[in-house]
Amino acid sequence: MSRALAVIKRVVSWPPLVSCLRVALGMVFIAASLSKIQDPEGFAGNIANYRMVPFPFVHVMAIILPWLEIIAGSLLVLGIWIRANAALTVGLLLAFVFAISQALYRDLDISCGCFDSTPSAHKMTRWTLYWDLIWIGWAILVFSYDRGVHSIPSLVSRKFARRSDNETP
Amino acid sequence: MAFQAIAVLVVSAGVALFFNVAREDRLPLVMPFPPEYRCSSPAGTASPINTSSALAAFGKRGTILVDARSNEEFEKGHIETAVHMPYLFVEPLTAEAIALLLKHERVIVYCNTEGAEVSRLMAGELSHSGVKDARYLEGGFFKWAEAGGKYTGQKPEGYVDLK
Repeated sequence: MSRALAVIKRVVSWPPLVSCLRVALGMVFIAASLSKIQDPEGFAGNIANYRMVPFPFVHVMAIILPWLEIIAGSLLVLGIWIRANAALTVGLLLAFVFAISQALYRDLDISCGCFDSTPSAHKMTRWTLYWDLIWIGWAILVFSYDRGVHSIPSLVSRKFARRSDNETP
Repeated sequence: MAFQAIAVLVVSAGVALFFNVAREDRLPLVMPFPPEYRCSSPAGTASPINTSSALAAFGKRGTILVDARSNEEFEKGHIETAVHMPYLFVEPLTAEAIALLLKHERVIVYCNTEGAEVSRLMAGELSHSGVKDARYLEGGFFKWAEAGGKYTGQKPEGYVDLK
């Protein structure tokens, strides 16, 4: 059992794989933010539909959340501040899981607003929740194992190191 | 790491607010009430009832009046025999409240705003929860008192402005 766990751990911490997971996670967040940035009013409607946030705060959330998603997602794709951004995505996903769970529990017949800010977009189901839980696991893997081997900062630092090696007489 | 996360949060908020100010269809930072103008589906549709029809239905078997206003407003004055169920958009109605209202054939919800926004939302939610004839009182408590409807406590001086 422990051997199997060790193998799994070695596979998921393999730098090329964990880098791909990080880039995919970042791209999901970027994709999720685009329609919300284009249509903040529609996204505000989605947030209001959850009936969780007191209405005076709905607009502030609708304005800031998509930009947080796109900036954290872009930084993840580039490999900058990986652990901080992975932690932020875990936090965001936990908030989404809570929002979706309470909406399902209260039997609110609403659209999740995850990728499409149109309130009449596809309705939320339990699968919406399962997908978010999968993304949380995904983000935790990135947080735990990605050491930035395949990232822009490491590429730049390697290039500089090579150049300084060449310049050394 | 915490500093980096906070930095991302702060920068995101700054960029978001800047772009919101820059765009033509910018959102006001505080969402106005009622939120229903943009809500898609949680509430069902409810029909209005005018003051004279409500006065005619008052006291009849199977009809119940529900006061959707705050505790403070209810204590000042309310329609006689009305049941108090303050309605908050973010909190759904309790199962006990719905069970009580389901026993009645007609439920008339009232508040005291000019457009009956709060009672309209609540009646919609009751309709969605299975109450057969959930209505909201047009003109609210103010029109009721003006038309000579029975009430206890103070007579309302006018409508309450939710904004």
